[in-house]
Amino acid sequence: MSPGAAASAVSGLAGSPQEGAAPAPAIAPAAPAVPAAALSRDARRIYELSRDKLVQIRTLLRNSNTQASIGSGFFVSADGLIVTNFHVASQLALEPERYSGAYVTIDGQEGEVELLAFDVRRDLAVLRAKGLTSPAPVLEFRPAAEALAQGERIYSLGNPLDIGFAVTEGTYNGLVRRSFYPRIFFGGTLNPGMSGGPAVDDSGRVLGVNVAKRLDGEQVSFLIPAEFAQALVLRAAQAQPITEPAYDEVTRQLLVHQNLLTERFLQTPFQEQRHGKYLVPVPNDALARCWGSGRDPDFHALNLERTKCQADSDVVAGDFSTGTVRLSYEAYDAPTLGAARFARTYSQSFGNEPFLKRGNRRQTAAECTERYVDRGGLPLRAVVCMSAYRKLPGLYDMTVMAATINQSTQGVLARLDVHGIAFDNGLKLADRYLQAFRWEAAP
Amino acid sequence: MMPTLGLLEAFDRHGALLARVPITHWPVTVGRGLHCDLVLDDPFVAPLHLRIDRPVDAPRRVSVEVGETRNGAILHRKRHGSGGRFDWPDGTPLEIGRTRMALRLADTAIADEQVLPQFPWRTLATTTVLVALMAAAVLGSSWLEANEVSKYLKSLPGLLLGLVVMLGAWSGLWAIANKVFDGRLQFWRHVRIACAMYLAAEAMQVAANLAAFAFSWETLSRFAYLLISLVMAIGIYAHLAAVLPRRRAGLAWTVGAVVLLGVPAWLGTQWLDRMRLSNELYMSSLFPPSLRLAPAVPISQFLQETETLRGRLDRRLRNDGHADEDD
Repeated sequence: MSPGAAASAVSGLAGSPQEGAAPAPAIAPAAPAVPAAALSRDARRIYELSRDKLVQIRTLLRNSNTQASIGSGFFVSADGLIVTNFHVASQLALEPERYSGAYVTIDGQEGEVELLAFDVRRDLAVLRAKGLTSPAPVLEFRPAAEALAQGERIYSLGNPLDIGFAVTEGTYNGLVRRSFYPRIFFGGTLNPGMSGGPAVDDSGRVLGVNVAKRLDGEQVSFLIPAEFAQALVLRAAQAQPITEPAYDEVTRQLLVHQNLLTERFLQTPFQEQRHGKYLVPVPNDALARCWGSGRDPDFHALNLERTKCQADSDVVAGDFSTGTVRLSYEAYDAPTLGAARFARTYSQSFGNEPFLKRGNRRQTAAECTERYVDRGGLPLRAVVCMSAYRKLPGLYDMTVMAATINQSTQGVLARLDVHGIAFDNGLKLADRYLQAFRWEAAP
Repeated sequence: MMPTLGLLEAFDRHGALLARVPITHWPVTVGRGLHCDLVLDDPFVAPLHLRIDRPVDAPRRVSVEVGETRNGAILHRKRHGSGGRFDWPDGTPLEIGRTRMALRLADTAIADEQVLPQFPWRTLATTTVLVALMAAAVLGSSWLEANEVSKYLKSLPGLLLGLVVMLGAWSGLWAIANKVFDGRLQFWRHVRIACAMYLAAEAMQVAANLAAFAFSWETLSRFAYLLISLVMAIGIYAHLAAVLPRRRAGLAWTVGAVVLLGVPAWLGTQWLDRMRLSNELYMSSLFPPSLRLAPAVPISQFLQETETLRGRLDRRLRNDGHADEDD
């Protein structure tokens, strides 16, 4: 089976020096990045209202003081609390001995920041600007009770690609369907470097925090609803600065995430997808997006149907994502191919799965168990592989593979990947998954 | 003219004739000294190494007296030192230094004239069958993986040419070695060895994978590569034995030692690098369902067994040594 790539790609918006090093011609003009004339009068007003409340967040290598990554943020309290994304500040949380944080205002005023609290699941962090001499100008949150209507103009602010502070105008499109945690679908442009910046309504009140965009689309961007930022700010106001690597806290939050994920998958029955007489489990439409594709045109004797499903549940846990659930199927039907040739093709497809065969600093190499298992008269070759995270104790990446072996020229190869799962929950999901395969014998 | 009583011959280590002297009187002397009847250039031979006589009272015997020598003489693997005396049976090779001696007596019955060898039909047939089987194995394997008949037929000439070139190059190199060390080319013999080796390795691979599938013996699938290495080692030994036929015992020991040292060294490297002895994570060779003999267990039993992963991963976390490595 071919690698289970996501059908689409979502990208966070934290910039890195590499990204900014060689700007493409399209983004070549220096600040001001967005000519005022191109904006509506509202956008211009919003920019003027918000400009002094915006900051750029930089993480710097302590030794050389060079910039490691950039993002955006905004002041939410007069004593200097700043909201940004966790993926902008993750190095401050996980490697505080190597990285320090700094903010830069629109006027070029710089200062050090300290990390107070973070929410890995929602991708939020709260920082405090150190050494403020005067109260910081503050952006207000829009009350959650005041719902926005689909199509309303909203404005996103930030410092894209380290070029300069900018405002982009777009539309509010409600919450993203199937997103594991609530996300606002922003019909506007976000660029790397704008991560953590605010998205505001017509009155300049924060309704969301810039977080990600789809790489395969235009103006398909995502915001974290402001209520989560507000809740984190309340927690952070009393918190002590984080000065030691916070792997324990990241692990704790990821354990909560995987518990929710497991619960939701166990509570929502799989749907059955038919391939000939095989019925294979796919997640409920509310949990994951599935894509199918037909026969491989290079191989006429072989009918092949592919399905890939992915839950929108990934979370950034530092310099990598986890918390994802992916499923994929390849259903083969080759009545004219003959058993031997079918077995060879089927084996090759079963054997060419990507796995972590060698450990790295993040996680161990995979370890597997395998068996013939019986699922209500349907024999499956089942393989379960797991790999353990080194610094997130108790969390694993799990892969379950199953190959049906009841027909000589038909079969389904299945793969389930769950990243960042506790061992017991992994086995529960594996059980639920394997139990959901069926073969409809002739009446 | 003196009658010829016998013939004394000296050969080097590879069997090439170094010297031949007719015996016209008894005793006959052998050594490096110019006064000897048979003068040898072997530096491991003494000036007067052997004195070979035929006692008058026992005309059927040839007795040998070893002269002042450090290395002595070896007959039937038995070493006779300085001053030693022994009988030299007719037709038996005698070794002194790096030289092999042979003796033919005039009164020994001469073996019948041999018929010239017939055309080696049997060898030709064996060669043909082996090459045909190898071609069938290569084409068959390619057929199993072929997407379409027309594409497969188009690929056949290239495939056959590749096979001929590979087989020719492999056997040709061995044949050149054969010519250098043994004086004979033996190309077709190396072709037969190469074909047999390939077929045995393929058969071993299929048998191991099939047994692994049938009985769910994953270990067999995981370590089939070791069995195939063993087959290859036997094949290499067969090639070497053809090149150096007089050194078969030594070659067997050498190949055996390489296998005995190489396999643990390879396994050790694998273990140090990846903390596992085989690079295969799971058994991936699937055969038609009717060939499966192992029972399918309930899913719950399988997942109970999967609990062992926890301990195995804990060991990896502690000991795999990759904690500092980048992706």
